[in-house]
Amino acid sequence: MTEKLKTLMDRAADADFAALDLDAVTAAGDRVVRRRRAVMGVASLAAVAVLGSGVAVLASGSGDGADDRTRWTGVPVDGSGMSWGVGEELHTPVGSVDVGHLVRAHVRTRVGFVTVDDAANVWSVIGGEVRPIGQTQATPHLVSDTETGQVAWLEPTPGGVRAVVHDQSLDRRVRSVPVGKDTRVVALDSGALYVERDGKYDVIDVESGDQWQIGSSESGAELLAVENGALVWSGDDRYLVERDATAPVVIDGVAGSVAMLSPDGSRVTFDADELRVYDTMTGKRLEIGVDDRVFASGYEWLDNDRVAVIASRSGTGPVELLACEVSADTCVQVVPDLGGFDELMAGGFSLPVGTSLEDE
Amino acid sequence: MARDRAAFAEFVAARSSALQRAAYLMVGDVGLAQDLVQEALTKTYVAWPRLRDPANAEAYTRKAITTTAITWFRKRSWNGERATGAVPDRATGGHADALDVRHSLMQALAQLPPRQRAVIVLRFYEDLTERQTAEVLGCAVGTVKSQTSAGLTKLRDLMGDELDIHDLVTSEGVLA
Repeated sequence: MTEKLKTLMDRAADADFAALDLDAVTAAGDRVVRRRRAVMGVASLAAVAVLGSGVAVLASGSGDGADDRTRWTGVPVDGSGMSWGVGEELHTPVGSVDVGHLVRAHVRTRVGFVTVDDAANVWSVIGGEVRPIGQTQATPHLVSDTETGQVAWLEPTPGGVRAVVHDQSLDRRVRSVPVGKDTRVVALDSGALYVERDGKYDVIDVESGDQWQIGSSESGAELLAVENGALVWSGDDRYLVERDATAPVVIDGVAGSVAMLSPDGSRVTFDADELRVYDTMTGKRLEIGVDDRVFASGYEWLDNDRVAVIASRSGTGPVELLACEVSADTCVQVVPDLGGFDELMAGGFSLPVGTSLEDE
Repeated sequence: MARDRAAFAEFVAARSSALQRAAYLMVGDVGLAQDLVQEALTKTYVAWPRLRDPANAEAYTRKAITTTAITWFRKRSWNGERATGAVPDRATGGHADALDVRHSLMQALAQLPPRQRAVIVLRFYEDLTERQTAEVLGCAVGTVKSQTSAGLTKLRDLMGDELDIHDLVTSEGVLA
């Protein structure tokens, strides 16, 4: 018996489903909205207190909002490098700034931050200065190089979509390249922008504009991250770390669709639901204890040894931010309670990953 | 569009059955599919005011279903579980052949990696274009093409003569 795929799926999907409980859906949604409003209110009143260890935590403020410590103190170049957005505020362990627009997505550079609002406007945030630097697509995706001031995104124009690179240290655009509409920016590293165009990967030299194509040793693999000459590719059931003239290093057994490389490319973490850090030269997992937290996922490298982690001791929250030191196998709690997962993921919360958590 | 409960109820009434069927193909279990759709609709209800156009609601819900399903399956895989799913009972006589093929399809789908499974359902059950599928998955069109090709190849290998995918093969003999 031979059947067409479409016909077969139509028949296979014809199962008996119970009626959907609309009241349960709207009640759950209303709870999310109420909690989100509550957490945003708390966040707007939050103060930053520095512990004796030099690590900062968010704590409930007195409500007057006038605490000097809540003022913007610039990019914490010697701090943990952590940042998170709640509503219209960007926070770091040492300060916060009201950027005047909803932070749907943001990234960090060596100079400051770049944000996207709910109208897809792109903004540069340096110290207390916030100004528009472009426009991007409805589903925002920024990529940045935290070792330079460069950030890139796709910008729709009347003449078509362009890949744009802005340098915050120069305060201007340094490259704008026409690309097809089926393009995705993947990474920005060492003056090179990596884009995917119709299943193929191109490297664009930011300074010269020269372009060339790259590919994985595994057909159909998807490029996830690039740092310092190390490229992480996702195959069907495994990840590959490839460098010029060396055999690929295979990483198996990881759930996750996003990879983050340390600035020197020596380590990688994934958006799995448990903290997974690997040595990219050997493919071996590096163990880091997160105590009894049932959820922990790395999302950004603060330097070559420290990874920022979003975590929780339960499946619902409260959500914490940790800074974990790989070589010491230790984690420090930086933010103890950002609220529950539902309200954070429902909107108004941003981590420096360049995309909106609502779109994930 | 405000968080209009009546409009949301209308959307749910009109689209929930279709969304549940697609979710079932993605996860292979009726109960899990219902949980998935319920969770996705909750996200849609929360996002309702900013979806602006009611037509966006379905795309938003479909995306929530797909990304949540992929996450669930990755967790299962990473925990060493196999996603076997609850497939229709085998029957004897009557429609036994048809049920056997359906059973084979659900088993074969369960053996695809999560993204390939999602791509196959979105492209060939939901009839989404490559671009629409890429938007749902948050990837490039080229990735959809490669995942589609790999998924169809695996389905063909797993199901053999039970499955006819000649209509999905291009004139160059390459899978769609």
